[in-house]
Amino acid sequence: MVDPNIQCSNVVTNISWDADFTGSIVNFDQASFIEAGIDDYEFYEKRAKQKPYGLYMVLKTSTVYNENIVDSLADYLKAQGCSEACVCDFISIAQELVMNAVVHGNLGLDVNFLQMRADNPAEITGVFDRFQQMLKDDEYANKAIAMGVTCYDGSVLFEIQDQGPGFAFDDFKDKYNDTSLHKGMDIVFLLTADIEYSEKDNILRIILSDKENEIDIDDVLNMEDIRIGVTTTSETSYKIIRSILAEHGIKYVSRFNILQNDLVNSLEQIDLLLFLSDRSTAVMLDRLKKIRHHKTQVEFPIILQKTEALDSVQMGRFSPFVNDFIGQDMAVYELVSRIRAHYSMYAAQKALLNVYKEYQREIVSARHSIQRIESLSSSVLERKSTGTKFLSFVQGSKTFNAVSEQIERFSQRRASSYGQGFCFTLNERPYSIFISMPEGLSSVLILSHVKGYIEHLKQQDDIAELEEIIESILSYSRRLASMALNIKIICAYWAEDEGTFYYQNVGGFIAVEYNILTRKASVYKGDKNSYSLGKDKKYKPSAQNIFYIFDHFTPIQLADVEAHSHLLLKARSFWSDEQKIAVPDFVAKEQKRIPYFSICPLDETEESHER
Amino acid sequence: MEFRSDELDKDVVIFLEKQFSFKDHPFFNDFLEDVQQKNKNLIFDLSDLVTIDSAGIGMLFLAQKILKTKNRHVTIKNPTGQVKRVLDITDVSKEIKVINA
Repeated sequence: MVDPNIQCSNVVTNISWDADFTGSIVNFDQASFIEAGIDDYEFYEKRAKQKPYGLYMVLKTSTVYNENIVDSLADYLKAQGCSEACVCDFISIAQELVMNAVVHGNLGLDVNFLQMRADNPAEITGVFDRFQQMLKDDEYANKAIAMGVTCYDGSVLFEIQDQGPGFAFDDFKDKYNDTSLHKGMDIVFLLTADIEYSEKDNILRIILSDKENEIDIDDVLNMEDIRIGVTTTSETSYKIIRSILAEHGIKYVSRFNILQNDLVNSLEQIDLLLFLSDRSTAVMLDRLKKIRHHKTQVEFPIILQKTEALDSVQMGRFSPFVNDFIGQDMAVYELVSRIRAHYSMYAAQKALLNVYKEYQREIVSARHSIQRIESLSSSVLERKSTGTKFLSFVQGSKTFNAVSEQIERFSQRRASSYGQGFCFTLNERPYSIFISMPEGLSSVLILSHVKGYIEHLKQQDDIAELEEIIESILSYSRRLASMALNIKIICAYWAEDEGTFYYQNVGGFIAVEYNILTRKASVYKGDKNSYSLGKDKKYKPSAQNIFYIFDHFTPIQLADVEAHSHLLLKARSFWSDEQKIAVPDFVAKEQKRIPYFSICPLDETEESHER
Repeated sequence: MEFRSDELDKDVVIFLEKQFSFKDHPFFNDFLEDVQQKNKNLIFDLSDLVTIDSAGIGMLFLAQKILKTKNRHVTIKNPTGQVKRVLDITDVSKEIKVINA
């Protein structure tokens, strides 16, 4: 039974519950609470003992709904020193995920619940009554919702697990919901640095960045700030070491009791442990194992100084758990230089981790933007004078199938390096952009920048000059990489009255035209100058031709274009305004996918009209 | 959620406070029924609202949808802090006018 006002002093502060809450504390090192009466109690009890969360709670669905659980989780983060901005973002995310777990997870209410609300407001009351009834029914109310939260090094990790059937995470991951009805997961995706879903366990995990609390490498490398714990039973030894280290500018030295109950949390108070093992090895070995269970050698250096109490065999047992052990007496400068070396490694690891996290964030946010962009990846163009329609599209290299989320991100950066693009409409004028970068800079990042630039133009309610857009891309690219980039850009717009396609480009491109009647491809003669920045070039499409533009470095033959055109025309027969238009990849020899830009007549029935 | 309102000639100004979330559906539904009868524009003053979730945003959209059928509209006024952040990232201003005093 739990005290109605739980206070777990080592980790949690000020978490209080209503008096009718009952449950048990499973693990005091972490704060793990399991409410009495939940379904599958034993399963969660086992899980609670394993979980490395600062706060882990398994509660009934009705408790989660009726109590301010999100506030309790937020209070924990505040107590751990998370910034206010981070806690606010966490609250927004957790509100969505907790309510999803209750409504769509354990109560199993269909996602159309929200749709129904919009279509027929009068039904809301009825649905809500049913919802309240379900929360009073033990069959639903006792289903468990497990939540774990912890924070470390400027990040917050949160996971949530319900007993519902799970959900199609990829549907949310791969696209944004444009409708006003599904903003919940958008909020989650937009505010998190990383998110993953385990379908097997029905667990959703998010990582939230707390930039204000990230460790600055310059601060970390300052030896004055290093916090050293010294483990010894000898007060004299401790005092000697402390004074020696103080002489060398290391101010924060404290006695560290490795036998204390609160060992794991106490590790957060020091950066490096100097361990003078002068106790029996069995106990010490057990404590070292416990430390390593929570922190690896990279995360927490331990230097072991041999004492007379240990023989070499006993020392050998310690070796897997320490970074460095010193078998003999050593000069003071050597001890200090060893501490400095290990601490530098530790600091470098933290700095690298921050760079990595920043990189992850960059890729994730870029990917989010590009997903929106890709939803506009084709554009229907109409020649007003004849009513003839064409499809303008860009087809980039695609993300590889991945075995894990992490690999997918790296793959995407590699895969997208060959070129991508998108179509968009600005002040009712359709535009297309195509970017090719053989040198490997991620086009995803650049296209995300373009997306932002276009949003800016939209707010000004203005059309955009092609040259202006290209200059913006070039400027951004140069900021990304100071070296000259072999970036190739095509920017184009469609003048609907005359039915002509105007474009400008930088870099080397090759334009190819395929004649649908003769089934032959040839280099487009109208594009004599492949470098056109500053002067609009034009192409007037017809119903008999498919127009392509490729990076001229890509390994294609005219025969490849002819083969691809057959595929494209086959795919065209399935295109319709209502359905998503599927465009085949351009696969050249050696099975390489080639990014390209194209204008294809949309409807073959218009050909006679055009002729 | 805490709530108060001022009725003007052409508008009803609603002051939302603390949280506006999924749990407010029943109340909000009743409120919308009343507003429909009045045939006025709705201004949601969010100066003192601390948090809003996707259901809260959905309810604002719902109000907009209902009022549109009567040639009336919804305006969001003075969102601050996390409420402003959430409204910004979800592009609410594309569909509902947002003004900051």
